[in-house]
Amino acid sequence: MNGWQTYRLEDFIPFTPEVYWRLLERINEAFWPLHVLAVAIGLTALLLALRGNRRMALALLAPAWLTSGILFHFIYYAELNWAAPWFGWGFIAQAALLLALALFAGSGPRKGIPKGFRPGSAQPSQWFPCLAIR
Amino acid sequence: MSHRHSRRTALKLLGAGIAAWWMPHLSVADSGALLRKSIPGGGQLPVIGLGTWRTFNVGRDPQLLDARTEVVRAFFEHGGGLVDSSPMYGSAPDVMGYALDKLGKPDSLYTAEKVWSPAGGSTREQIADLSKRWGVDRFDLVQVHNLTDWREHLDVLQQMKADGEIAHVGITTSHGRRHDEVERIMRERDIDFVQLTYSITHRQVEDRLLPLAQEKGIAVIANRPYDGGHLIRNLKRRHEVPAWAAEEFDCRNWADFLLKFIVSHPALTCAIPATTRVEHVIENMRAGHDPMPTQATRERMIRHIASL
Repeated sequence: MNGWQTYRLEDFIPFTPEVYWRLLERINEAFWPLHVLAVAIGLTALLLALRGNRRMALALLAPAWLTSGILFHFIYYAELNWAAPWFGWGFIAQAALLLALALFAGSGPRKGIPKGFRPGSAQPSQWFPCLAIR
Repeated sequence: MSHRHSRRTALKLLGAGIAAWWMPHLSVADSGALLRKSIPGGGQLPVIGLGTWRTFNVGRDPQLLDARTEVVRAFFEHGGGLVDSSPMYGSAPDVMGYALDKLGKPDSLYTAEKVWSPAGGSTREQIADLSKRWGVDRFDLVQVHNLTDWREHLDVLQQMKADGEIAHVGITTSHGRRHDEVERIMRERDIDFVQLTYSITHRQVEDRLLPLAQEKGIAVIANRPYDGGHLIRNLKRRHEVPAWAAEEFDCRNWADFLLKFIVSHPALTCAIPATTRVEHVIENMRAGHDPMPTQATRERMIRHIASL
């Protein structure tokens, strides 16, 4: 009985569902009405990407990841999970990579839908930045 | 925990007995005395304690902090003693600190904490940090969480016990893991408590660890008495408590059935169900009252659960 098979998924989640939903409720209360701004930024990023301006779209997503890393993981989620800062550093690294891509990737607008956003051609990892928009 | 409390408890029980005679309807809640068992070095613990894994990790949420404080209040009002936590349980030690600050520290409080990996010379530092979070001067029991770095931790804990900085020393395991190593530590080291998983559906410890604990005079804490909540939820949803259980040991609900099974084992000192709800903590505490099932009834209980 020493193996990993003795663990259930919930053994790795150190809080109850009630606590997590309350956490999201508290964050939403604390930051309202910034949600409107976040949705506007998200839609703008999507529009820019569809119109071929990938660099601007990536530049807009970077602060979303940075904000989620710092505010959510380091400040709120860290109350519940000692591993939260590790996730936070991951989010910050992602923000840095997006910013680097925005700054140093090939320049110039492209016409049409970018390859990564075309139906059927998208890789899951290319949609990850959208996760940072809450 | 103090002897003063034992006298107080005796007076309370005497008062409760008089009240039950005078007002029979009050005796419905608690049919017998809350069972207590001896621990090494003298003293006794109520057989039902309070676990905090998952349930007390609520962060700084003011609404949930107050809700958990009510759980702790109900626990002590119904005679509770041992509260078990760990630095691995997120904000649970802080939540206990919050609750004790609001409620005060009852005489019956028996604080059980843990140290965990990495040790690296941090045992005393971990305990000092946890003391601050609980708002207590010292812990009654410090356990090595899941045997992590147990050699280094135990050396320090035993020195702290000798210096009077903690009262008792223990080790923990769960889910039936590393029992060979637990057995070796129980045989070779001077420990007061062992915490392990024991429930009506997880009884591996009956073969070697519980008899060894009895032989060595080591107190036993049973974690996961409801198998993480799955067991009691499934039973409550699908089955009625058998009528014979009510006749044989005044079993009124599944909490009675499952907890009385655990704490009626002669080697067991205390079970630590965790909950977020006041009504459940009251239900749990009532399960610690006499009468308890006999050995023959315990075997019948096992057969009954296996048949479901």
